[in-house]
Formats: sequence, C-alpha cells, structure tokens
Amino acid sequence: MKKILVIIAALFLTGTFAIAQGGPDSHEANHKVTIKVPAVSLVDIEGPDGDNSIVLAFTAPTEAGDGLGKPEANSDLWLNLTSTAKNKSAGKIVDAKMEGELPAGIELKLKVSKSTTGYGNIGTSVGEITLGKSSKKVITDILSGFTGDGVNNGFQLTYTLDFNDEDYKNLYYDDMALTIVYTMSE
Amino acid sequence: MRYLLLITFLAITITITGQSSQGHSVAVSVPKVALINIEGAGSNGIVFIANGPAQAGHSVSFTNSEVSGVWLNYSSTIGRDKPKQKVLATLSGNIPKAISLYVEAGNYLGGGKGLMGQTTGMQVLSETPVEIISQIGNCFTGKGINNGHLLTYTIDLDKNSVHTLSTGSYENILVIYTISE
Repeated sequence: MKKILVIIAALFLTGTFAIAQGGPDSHEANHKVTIKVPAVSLVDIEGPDGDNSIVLAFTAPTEAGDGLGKPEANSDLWLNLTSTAKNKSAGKIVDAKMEGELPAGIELKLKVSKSTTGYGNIGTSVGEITLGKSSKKVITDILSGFTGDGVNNGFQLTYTLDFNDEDYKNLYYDDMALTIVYTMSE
Repeated sequence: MRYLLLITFLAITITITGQSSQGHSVAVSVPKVALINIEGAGSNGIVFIANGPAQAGHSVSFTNSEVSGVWLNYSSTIGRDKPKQKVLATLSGNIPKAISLYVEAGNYLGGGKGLMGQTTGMQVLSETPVEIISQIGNCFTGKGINNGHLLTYTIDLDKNSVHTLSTGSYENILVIYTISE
C-alpha cells in the first residue's frame, strides 16, 4: 500500500517533465537528467549479538539491615541513524520516550554519547536526560548523514537508574517491563 | 473532489517518509529480600543469674529479671499486593518449667529507610513461633546496634513450680528469629 501511494505521488510529480520534452532539431541537443535523493529518516537501536533488550537489576543485600544495591549503568546499546534533509533544513531531531511504569522514586536516565563514527551531519547529542512518558530530544541538528551500522557505530546509549531512598517503601520486588522508543522527525 | 483526493495522497506520503521510530525493551528488576540478623548479643548471649535468698524461707530470685541490648536488623522487599512480612521468635532448648521467658521488640530506631514493622508488644517465648514484629514492608533497618528493634528479655519465676528448678546452668537455650510473609 505504501509503495502504491509513493508511485502515485511520483507519477504526479514527474508527469510535468514529460510534457516539456521535444521541439525542432538543431546543432545542439540536450536532454534532462533528474537526480533524485529520497527523503530518509531511519533510526535503529543495536545491541550485542543482535539483542537490543537490556536489564537493569537491583541487587539484593547480603547483610540484614542493608538496602538494595542500585543497578549498574548499562552502555550496551548503540543508536544508528541515516538521514537526508531538505536544503535549508533547520535540522532533524531524534527524541526518546518511555512506555511503561516505574514506581515513584525511580528515575531512568539516558545519556547519549557523541558519535565517533559516520559521515555527514549526523547530529549533536544533548547529553543526559531523564526519560518520561513525553518525548524528549536526545539528538538535534541532523541533516544528511549516516552513522554506520551495528554496535560501536553511532551514538552509544548509557542507561542509569537513580533511586531516592526516601521512596524505599515503593520498591516492591518485581520485574518491570519498559519500552524506550526513539523517533527521528523533522 | 479529485483535488481533495490528491492532497490526501501527498499528506500520507510525507508522513511515511518523514518519521522513523525504533523501540527496545528495558527490564527493571527488584529482587525479593528477607534477611534478619541479631546484633549486640556478644559471644555469651543473654545471661540471667538467679541468686539464693539471704534469708531462709524466701525464694531464689533473679538479680536481672530484665535484659536488653540486643538489636534486630532486617531487610525486606515484598510483592505488590502480597502480604507484608513478619518476624517470628521461637524458643529452642531445655528451660526449667518454673521459668517463663518473654521478649519484647521496641519501636524501630535507626538510620534505615522504608516501611518498618510494628512491635506486637511483650510475648512469651515457647517452641511455638510467636509474632513479635508485624507489618514489615519494603525497608532496611540499618546495620548494627542502635539500628532496628531493641529486644528486651524478661524472665519470670513461677513460685508454684519451684520444685522443678535444680542447681546449675541452663545453657544452649536459643531464641530463633525468622522473617517471612
């Protein structure tokens, strides 16, 4: 369905060029060449062995009277992107949001590190944000560029859990499933 | 009508090429915890000493009928919609019939966090577990003395059963504490 729509749109846009062809022969001839660059906004999250799911586990204390240990930060995942932008584009962005619930007192933080790979204008990381239900910008000023594909390419993602001991009563034993959604848009 | 259709097609095309999303899963796990420990008992534990009376005709009596100084530390996580945890105390070993041993957990004190348990007041110890702290939620008491619940033991001599007492030392009497749902 998507293809059909694109073809219909393309036919409409290119139809006008066909009409402009022709005219009398002369010592000079020309023909038009049209080079098309598609609009691309692709973002992907890559992890080791093709697995982009991660676990942030609180650790049980070994001595009575001690609290739970905070999960270690996780830097397993990488954000790859490919983008083309319109001329004079103000720059595209990648934003991130969290789907799912965390108990009061737990904050999930995301740090997007600067990319050391890629070509073109792949954007600038905004640093660290606290993830929430509403989207927050994590990369800005993306024009035309690509990061390379797979782990160790693009922007390394570091997730950290912050926990306030004052909310300890809310820390039920549980496995909480969250989804972090990254979106590239104009 | 045709123009309207065309505009619709274009708008759809832009939406498809203008945005791309990718999600991945994050699991946050909190383990189940039920840990309990006694602090401050020393190597000898609690010692009660009975003295003979100064005058014939009087009963033996304890110089220290009330002893405290032992602290109960614990760490707990419970499930959402699951029962809270409690601390049970059980007496093990041979105790003379004439003697009753009581324990009372004090109110929580210390540097821990979360929903601490509530004392159930003074309880007599026996081979049947008795609840001394109830309603423990997600919490940790802090470690060591002055953290958690101070335990106070009280000993009581039943004059009507004095004939069961024999001279000597009643050792190997244990009080066992467990934390559970």
